[in-house]
Amino acid sequence: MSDQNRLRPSTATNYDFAVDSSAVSADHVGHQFDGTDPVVEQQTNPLRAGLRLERVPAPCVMVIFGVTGDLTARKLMPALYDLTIGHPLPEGFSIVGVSHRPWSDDEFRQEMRKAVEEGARAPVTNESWELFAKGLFYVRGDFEAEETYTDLKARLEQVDTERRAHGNRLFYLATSPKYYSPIIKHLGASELARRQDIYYDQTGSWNRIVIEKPFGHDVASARALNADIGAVFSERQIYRIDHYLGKETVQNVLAFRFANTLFEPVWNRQYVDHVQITVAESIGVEGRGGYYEDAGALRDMVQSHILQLLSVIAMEPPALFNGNALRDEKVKVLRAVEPPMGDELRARTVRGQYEEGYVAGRAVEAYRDEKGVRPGSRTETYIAMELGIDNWRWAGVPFYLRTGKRLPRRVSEIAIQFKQVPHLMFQSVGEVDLSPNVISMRIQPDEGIALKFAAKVPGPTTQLRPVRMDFQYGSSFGEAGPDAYERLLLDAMLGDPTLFARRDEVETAWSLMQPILDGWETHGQPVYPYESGSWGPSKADTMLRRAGREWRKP
Amino acid sequence: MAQKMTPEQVLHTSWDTDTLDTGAIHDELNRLWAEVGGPRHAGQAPGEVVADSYIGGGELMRANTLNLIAVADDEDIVNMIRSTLSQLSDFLPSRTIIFNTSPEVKRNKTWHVEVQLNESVATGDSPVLRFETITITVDPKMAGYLASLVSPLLISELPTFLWWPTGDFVGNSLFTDIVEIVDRLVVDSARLGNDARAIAQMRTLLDDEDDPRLGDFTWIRLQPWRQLIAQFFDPAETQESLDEIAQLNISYAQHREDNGSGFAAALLIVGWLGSRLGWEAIEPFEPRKAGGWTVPLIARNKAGKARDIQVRLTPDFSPHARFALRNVEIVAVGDHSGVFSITRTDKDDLITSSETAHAPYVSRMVYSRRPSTVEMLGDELQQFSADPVFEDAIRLATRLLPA
Repeated sequence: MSDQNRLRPSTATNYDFAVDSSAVSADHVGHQFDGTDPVVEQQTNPLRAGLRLERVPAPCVMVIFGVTGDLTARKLMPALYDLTIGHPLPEGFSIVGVSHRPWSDDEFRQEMRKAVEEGARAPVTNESWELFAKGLFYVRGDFEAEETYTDLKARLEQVDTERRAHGNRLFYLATSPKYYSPIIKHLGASELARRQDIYYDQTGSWNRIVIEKPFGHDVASARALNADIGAVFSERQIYRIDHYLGKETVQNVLAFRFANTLFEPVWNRQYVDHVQITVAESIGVEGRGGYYEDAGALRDMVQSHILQLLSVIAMEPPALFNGNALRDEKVKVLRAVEPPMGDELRARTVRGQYEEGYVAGRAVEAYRDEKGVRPGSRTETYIAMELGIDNWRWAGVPFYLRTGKRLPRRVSEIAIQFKQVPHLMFQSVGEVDLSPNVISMRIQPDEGIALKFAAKVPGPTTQLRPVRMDFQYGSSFGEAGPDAYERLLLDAMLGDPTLFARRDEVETAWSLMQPILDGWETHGQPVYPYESGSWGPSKADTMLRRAGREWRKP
Repeated sequence: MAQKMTPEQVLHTSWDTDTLDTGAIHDELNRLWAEVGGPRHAGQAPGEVVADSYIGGGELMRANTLNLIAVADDEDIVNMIRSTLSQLSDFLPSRTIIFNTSPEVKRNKTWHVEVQLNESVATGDSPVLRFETITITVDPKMAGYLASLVSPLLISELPTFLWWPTGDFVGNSLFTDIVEIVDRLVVDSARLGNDARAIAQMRTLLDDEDDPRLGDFTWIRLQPWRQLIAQFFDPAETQESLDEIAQLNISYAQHREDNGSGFAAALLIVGWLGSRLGWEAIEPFEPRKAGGWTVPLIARNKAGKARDIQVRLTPDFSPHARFALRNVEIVAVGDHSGVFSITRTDKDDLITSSETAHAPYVSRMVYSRRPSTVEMLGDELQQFSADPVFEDAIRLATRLLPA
């Protein structure tokens, strides 16, 4: 196996558009990649140089399959509206929704207005809405019927002509995962999508596809899905969205680590005692019991979001900030992760399921009483696990991951706990209460970074206490950054894959989780009940206590 | 010294003095931070460290961002500066120093100093934002001393911006003195009115490498115009028209309701297009009999063959104009001929239209609200490096102005 990077300097002088082009042929799981060279739009237009603030994609039509669903209403349409208002999306930008409901264009627009009024950050006036709604169109159809794609093709050609979208298309699968493969096959068969390898004529039109997680249910299904997508689209056209990577703090982890000299020297096994990654939710399954029953916390959160966080925390510095360089490093560190297997499973993983209890002063029901959940369900709503990373930097440093529903509060954070000082001279002058240094990075809410260190309490005696130096995004920069979907949708339109998951990332992540899933199945693994509103089953505390550590209370 | 807490959550202290002591200003700031619960003993400077409450600290957290200096010779401008600061949300200066040289202010002593610790009112989950403002009011005759106060009052290690909101910076000695200290300068060339000579002076701010980086509100106002003009030429087939541009017609506001003018904006559009497309200046603008200005520029194709580009700037005398530019029209003549036009309506919209030899006429309306001073300053405060495209535009535009 050989990694081969072909780096081509961008011709654009504008830093906003100067995303480097590179190709890679690295594949952990036996597939040949054709590269994900980003198509940087407008790079030949001399007037684009220096246009700061706004990264403007080429005119395009975004085709949303499953447009009547919850994701479109809550996330996509508000984000697209905010992008239109905040950044002038180009002349001709249009949205074609596809779903089975018998809506007209006008009904579609009315429904979307409600969604935008509810979810968008920018105000919605009649004037601004009219400007946005002119580019909204609807095609009714069954995702598995050939006629749907015939109708869609005709509609797209009409939109292309009327709004000069130049044939550029961004397909977005906001449907149930069971429709992913049928839709992709139809897009290929109808020639709505065509494969664009690295050498295709970049002055022509482009088409790309955005896919929401879950990217499969296990290794086999992930590979099958990737094969189906790969039959129609080349890897460079595929954007697997994990909205966690669109969050400002996750991107700031990269800045924190690689734009400062202060932290990287201590970011290794010599100084770090352990790492904790927590993604806690206070909500339950919220009516998605049917889906969750087949997923569970491991598939729903660990395989995607938490491993993404782990990889940005643990990876080596990329040589460049571009799609492939960054993702190469993420894949490399994932490949070094040692998942617990066989007899280790019980010692290094803890599964839990919430029972009734109180969250934020409200009585909540047990998981097994939720709609769509089997009465005797053994699906985990909580998981804690210990992973090791077998490489030069991290050998011997445990990474503790946990996620759960119905925990006391919604919080996502990464905490790097450093080792104790080798010699505590202050013990000679009295009792000291010294906890180790911790760098904690809060992903949500209150995005920011804090450093805990020891300070002397003022006074004649030597008393040490931990203090916290806190950097909060909100208090330094005031306004929150763009919503994660805004950032990621814009990136997909611009052809920048940096913050999207690549095929080998997804399959490597599944290959780490598969032995755990198989082990649970083979050896049996208890699912410990925990009270809603608690921090999970006590067995998870025991897991850390055995190593002389404890979970943080974020 | 009088101190009060206003309903807007502002702590402030003010005093008059004949001898200005910058140490006293620092002491007052420290005291005000302590008033809001800041740690007295943790950290090198007030407000830089969060301490747990049990060792004497409060829920105070802060990461310092930048210093801002603003200069005004009018009470209304001072109020405008304060109002703008209070509304900033993107990138708030940690410390702002306002120099007020208004001759109308009555004084008992030479200096009037006001030190404020401002606090934005938190909404929802937003954290509290705290920032410092030091206002020093002095008779205009004493303005020459002000530059010497800047360095002692800055928060060290932070970038320092100078915002000069009026158009009187050209030839101003205080401006010249402070410019040497700061990292970035923010002006509004629209405030220079129709004074071609003053606009031409802006070029001198780019000539010395030691000068601060220059930012211009007028350039920010042109952002949507530049975006939309650039969008015309994103498709490969219309990019060919760039090599066949024969006319550039710009209509600008002679007098804006804010006492500015659109003349500088029109010049910047010429400078921007010309510098990006490699147009050469051969002679300066000539006044037109019908009003406005005209100038020929030279462009060369890849084979080195030259062609003329006729540039016309036409004043729009609409009373109380809110816009800087009314219309930009680009005409290409040749195999890839086309007409590309953007017009500002009287509302917050721009109408774009284009027609080429290969594409039918299309027109659309784009919502494009004029940016407020708050938005423009917020935008400028996020820029630290030079903008070579802007600098190239200024250089070409000023080269076209009559000596």
